[in-house]
Amino acid sequence: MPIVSTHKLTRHYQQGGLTVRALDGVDLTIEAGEFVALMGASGSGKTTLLNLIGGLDRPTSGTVEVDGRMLNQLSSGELSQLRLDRIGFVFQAYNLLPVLTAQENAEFVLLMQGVEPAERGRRIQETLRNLGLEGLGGRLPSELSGGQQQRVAVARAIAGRPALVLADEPTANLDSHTGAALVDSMRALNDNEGITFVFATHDAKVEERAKRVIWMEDGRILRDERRG
Amino acid sequence: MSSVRQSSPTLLRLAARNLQRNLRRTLITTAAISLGLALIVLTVNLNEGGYKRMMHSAISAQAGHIVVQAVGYQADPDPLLLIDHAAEVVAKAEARFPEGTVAARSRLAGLITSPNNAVGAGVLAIVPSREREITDLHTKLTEGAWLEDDDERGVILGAELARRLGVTIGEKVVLMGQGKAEVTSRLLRLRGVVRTGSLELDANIAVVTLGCAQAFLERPDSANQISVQLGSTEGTRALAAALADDLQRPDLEVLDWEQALPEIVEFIQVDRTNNVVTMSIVGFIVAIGVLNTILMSVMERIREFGVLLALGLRPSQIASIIVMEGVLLGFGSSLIGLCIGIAISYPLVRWGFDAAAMMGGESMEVAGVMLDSRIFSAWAVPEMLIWTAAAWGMTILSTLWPARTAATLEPVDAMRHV
Repeated sequence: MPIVSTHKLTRHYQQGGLTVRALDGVDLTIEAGEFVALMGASGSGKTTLLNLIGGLDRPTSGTVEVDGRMLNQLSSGELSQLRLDRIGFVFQAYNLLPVLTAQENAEFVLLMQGVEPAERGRRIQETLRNLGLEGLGGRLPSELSGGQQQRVAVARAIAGRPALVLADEPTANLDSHTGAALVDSMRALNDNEGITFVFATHDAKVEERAKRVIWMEDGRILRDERRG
Repeated sequence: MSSVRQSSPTLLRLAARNLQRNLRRTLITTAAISLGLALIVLTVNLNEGGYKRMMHSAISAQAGHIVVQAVGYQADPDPLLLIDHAAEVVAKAEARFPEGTVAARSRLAGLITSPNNAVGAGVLAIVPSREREITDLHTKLTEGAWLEDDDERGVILGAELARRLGVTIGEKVVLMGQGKAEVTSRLLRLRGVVRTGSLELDANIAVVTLGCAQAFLERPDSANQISVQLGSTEGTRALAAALADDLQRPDLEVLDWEQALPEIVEFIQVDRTNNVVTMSIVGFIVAIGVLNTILMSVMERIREFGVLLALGLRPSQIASIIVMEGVLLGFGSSLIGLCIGIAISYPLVRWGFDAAAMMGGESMEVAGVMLDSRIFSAWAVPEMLIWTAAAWGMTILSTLWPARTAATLEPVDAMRHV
C-alpha cells in the first residue's frame, strides 16, 4: 500500500517577476517501508517535494496523498493532526527546541499526542537507547554535539510512531563518520520497525544505504532506481 | 480534545522555559510591570489616605456622619434657619446612637469690632465639651483657655483675626450681625486664640458657645445643625432614615454625610476619575513596552514556531504558548508589583510623613477642608486588587497581537526565516 502518492504535483514561485518552477508535474508513489533518497543538485526540487509531502507547503496544482489522506482536502487542523500522528521530520539544522532537554525534545511529540506517562517513558527510553543517546537525556541541545543533536531530532521524529519520516539533508552539518552512523541508525529503524524514510540529500552515504534513489533535476524526476 | 487538554501542561512548561531563555529581558520586563504597578499601588493608597482624612475632617468639623437640620438649610445655609427644640432632637439622636457623639452647632456671619478695627468673621457656635470629642480645634489653642459650656460671653479668635483686631486675652470685642428681627450686637471677651495653620482660616474664625449664639439670635434651645458622629462612614443612609423616623419632624431633614457634604463627595469622585485616567496612561505606556518586548521575542522565534507547526502543533497552540508566556509573566510581575507597592506603602500607612515643609505651613486646605500636614496612606484594598488584575490582564492583552502574528505563520515560510 502506498504511503505517499503524488499526481502531477507542481509548485511554482514568483520571484522578482519571474516564475520559478520548483516542481513541475511530479508523479511519485512511495510504498510503506521504503528507504528513499531524493538526490539532485541544489534547486532540483528535492526540498520542495519533501515540504509538499509533509503538508508544510501547498502545491500550485496536482495532489498529494499521504497515508490514504488527500492533503488538499484536509483543514489546517486535520493537517496538523496528520503531521503530529503520522509524519516525523528531521531537518538539516536539527531544529531542536533550545529550552527543552534532549529527553524533553524527544518526548515532545508524545506529550502533544497525549500518550500516557508510563507508555511515554518506556518508548522514550527505548528510542534513546536505540539511537545511542543513553545518559544524554538531561542535557540541553547546546550541551550536545551536532551528531548527538541530530540523533535527538531523529528520536523526536520517530518517537511518535509515525508512518513516514521526512529528512531534509540530515547529514549536511555532520562529519562523514557521524553522518554515516546516523544514516545507519535510521536504516536500522527502517529495517526493524518498518518506518518509511524519505531523504532529500546530496550525501553519497545516504545514497549507498538507500533502497530506492530518485534523481531530480529542474523540478522533475530524472531517474528512479530501486536497489536490492 | 482530550489530547489538547493533555498538551496544555506541555505548552505551559514550554512557555515557562521560554521566559527563562532570555532571563535578562524577562527581568527587565518584569521590573517595568512590577514597578509601574507598585507606583500605582502607592498612589491609590496615598489617595485613599487623603480621601479618608478629608472625609474625616469634613465630617467632624463641617457636618457629621448624620446631620439634622431645618428643611432648606442644605440649599441655603441661612443662620436663621434653625432647629427649634434642639435639646429634644439631641436627646432622640443620643437614644438612637448611644455609641455616637451628638453635638449641636450653629453658624453665624458677622462683624467683630474692637477699639482698633472691625473685621468680618465666620462664627462657629458649639457646645465646647462635645466638640472636644469630635474635632481637634481645641488643640490649636496657642493662647488663653478653651471655652466652658456655659460661657455665653466668651469668644475664641483665630490668631490672624485677633492680630487684625489688635486684641489680647481678656479684652473685649463686639459681635454684630443679623439677629432674630434686626441687626444686633453682643459684647464678648476674648478667652483664647487658635492657630490652625491656615492663614485664611485664622483670619476668619471666631468660636462661641451655642448658648451665646442662642442669646444673640434670641432663639433659645435652637441650633442650625445637630451633628451625629459615628464610628464608620458605612451604612449611614439607612441610619439617617431611622433617625428621621424617630424624630417625626417634617420641618427637619436628616442627611447622611454624603448628602450633607456633596462637594466633598464630588471632589473625591472627580479626583478618583482623574487618577484612574492618569494611571491608565502609565499602564498603557508600560503595555506598549511589554508589547514591544513580546513581539520582539516572537520575531526571534519564527523559525522555531515553523518547527513546532511541522511537528504537528496547531496554529492555535502556537498562539497559546505566547499567551501563556503573558499569563506567567503578568502573574509574576503583578504579584511582585503588589508586594513592592504594599511594602513601600506600609510606612506611610503606619507612620505617615510630615509634608509641612512641602506645604509651606502646618496644614492645607483642600476643597474647603482643613487637612493636617502629616500625610497618611490608607489601604485601598479593592483598588489595589483591581490594578493588580489590570496589570496582569494588560500583560496578557499585550501578547494577543504577537500571538495572532505567530498563529498566521505558514510552516514552510516560518522555517525559511533566518
